[in-house]
Amino acid sequence: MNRLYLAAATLNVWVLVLVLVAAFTVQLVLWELPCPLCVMQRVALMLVALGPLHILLRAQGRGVLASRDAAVGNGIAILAALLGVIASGRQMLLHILPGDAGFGAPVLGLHLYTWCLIAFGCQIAAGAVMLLAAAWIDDKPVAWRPTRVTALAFAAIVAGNLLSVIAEAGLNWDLPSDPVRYLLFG
Amino acid sequence: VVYAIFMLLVLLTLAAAWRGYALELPLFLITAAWVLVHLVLDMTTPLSLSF
Repeated sequence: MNRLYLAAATLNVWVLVLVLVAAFTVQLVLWELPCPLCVMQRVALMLVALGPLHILLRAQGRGVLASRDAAVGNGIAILAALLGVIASGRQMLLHILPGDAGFGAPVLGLHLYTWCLIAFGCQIAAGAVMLLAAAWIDDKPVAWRPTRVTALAFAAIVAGNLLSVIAEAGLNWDLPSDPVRYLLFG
Repeated sequence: VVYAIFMLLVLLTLAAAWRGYALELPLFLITAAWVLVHLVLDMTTPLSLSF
């Protein structure tokens, strides 16, 4: 059960990394610069990933998967997903009036912030299921090799977004509400 | 710059978790609280995050 639990936590992180990669791809390939609320949703996705990463890294450090670490990790993920719900829900409500085309190009019929809202809702449900599943964790030692590469992939996508947002905002404290160019480059 | 600071805090929290430092949870809570304040300010003041 412990290995299955760690596999689920790893999968959770990778799904979040892939969502962040997809958003980054839209930004770089379609030249759609993220607005401030879009960046806030990315930050919320990153904060969510810290939850399952807490579980993985604690299990790696101690060699044991503890129920306490599972509880803390899922608490982190659920709290952060609630922040994501606020950001994406806010942006969705801003574009809910009839005739409003929304912000950015839709993907599979929905805008990215709508997909984000769905993703955060699914994350909250997944966190609740993981909390329930913690009842079956035992104290046996467990080795889980994918932790390191998972954490490194997450760090890489966060670092990429960090550089991107610096390029986008330049030396300004905040981003323009409808960014059209990278302010660092004039 | 504020978004870069958020992401830097995420990286610092990850580093703390990796090293097993007790600073991990306070860092997460500070970041989450700051993000919440930033979002609430957008809804209650002329600060415009949104488009």
